[in-house]
Amino acid sequence: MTYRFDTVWNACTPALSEEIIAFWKSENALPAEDDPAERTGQTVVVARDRDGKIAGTCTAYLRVVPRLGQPMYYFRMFFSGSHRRKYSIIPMMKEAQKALSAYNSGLPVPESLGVVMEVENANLRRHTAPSWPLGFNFIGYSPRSLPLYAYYFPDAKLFPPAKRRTV
Amino acid sequence: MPYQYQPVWKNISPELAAEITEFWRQEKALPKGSDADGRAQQVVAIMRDGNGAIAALSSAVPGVVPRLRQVLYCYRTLCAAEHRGKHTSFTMLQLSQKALLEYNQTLAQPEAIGIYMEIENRMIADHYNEAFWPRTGFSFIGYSPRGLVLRAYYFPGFKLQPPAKAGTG
Repeated sequence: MTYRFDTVWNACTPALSEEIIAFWKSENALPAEDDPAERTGQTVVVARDRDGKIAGTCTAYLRVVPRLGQPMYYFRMFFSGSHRRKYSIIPMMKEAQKALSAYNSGLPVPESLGVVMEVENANLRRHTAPSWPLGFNFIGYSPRSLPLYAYYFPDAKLFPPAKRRTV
Repeated sequence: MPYQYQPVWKNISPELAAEITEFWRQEKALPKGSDADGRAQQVVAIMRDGNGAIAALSSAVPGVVPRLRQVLYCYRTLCAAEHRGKHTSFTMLQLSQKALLEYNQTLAQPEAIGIYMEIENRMIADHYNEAFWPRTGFSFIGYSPRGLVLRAYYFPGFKLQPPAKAGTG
C-alpha cells in the first residue's frame, strides 16, 4: 500500500489535532496520563492511507538524554495494527528527519543535536546491526534494557554538556 | 614532511616490538613496570618519518564499554611531539579502522564490533566537535567518567552481541 506522508511539525491545526487524538483513541494508543493536546503538538509526520485516513504518526519531544548529556528529540512512531509491516517506517523516518533537521537549521541557535529512539518494536529489535540505515547508530541500552539509537543532524555540533551522567 | 603508514596489527616481530618500545621510551610514554612487549602487541598502525623512524603509532585493546555493554576496541594514538599538528591523525585512524575491520572479518566470532575512543586531546575535542564524523564514521556516544567526549564506530555488517552485564542509563 502506498502512503502519503504529511509533515506537520509545528503546524498542527486544531482540526488535525482532533483527528490525531481520535486516531490514537481508536487504537488505544493514548496513555491515560498523557495530555492529548500536548502530544499532538509533538507530531512531526502523519501517514495517511489511500482513503486519506490516518494510518500512523510519529512524534518528537525535546529532552536532554542523560547518557549523552545533550538535548535530542526523543522520537516515537505509531502505526495502526492494519498498517504495520508495510515498509512504511523508513519513509516516515526520512520525512521526520528532514523536518526536524530543517527546523533546527532555521533556528538562531539549534535546540537539538539530533534524534534518539528507544526500539520497542520486537520486529525492529531483530535487526541487531549497531549502525542502521538513515544514519542511526547504537548508543547503549535504556533503563528498560531496550536498544537506543541516535541520529545526528548533518554538521550538528556538540553543545556544552548538560548534567553529566557517566556510565 | 612525507610520512609512510604501515598496518602492523597482529604482525609485530620481536625487532618491531623493540623499536616500538624504544619509541615509547623516547616519548616517555611507557609507565614504569608496564609490560612493553605485551603493549607492543596492541599496536595497529605505525607512521614513519622521512628517515624511516617511528613518528606515531596507534594501538587498540578490546574490552566491554560499560555504557554500550558491547565489546569494542579502545583506540589510542601517540604522535612524537615534533610530528604533531601535521594532520596525520585521520590517516592513522582510517588505516587502523581498516586493519581492525579486516582482522575481525576473518574471525568466526568477532573479537569486537567496532572501535571507541576517548578524546583526550583538547584541540581535537574542541575543533572537531561535530556529533558525527562523516570521514571516519565515528559518532558521539556521551562523556567518559573524566568528562571527555566518547565516540564509537561500528564495523559495517557486524551485529550487536548479547549485552554484557552493566548498568543502564
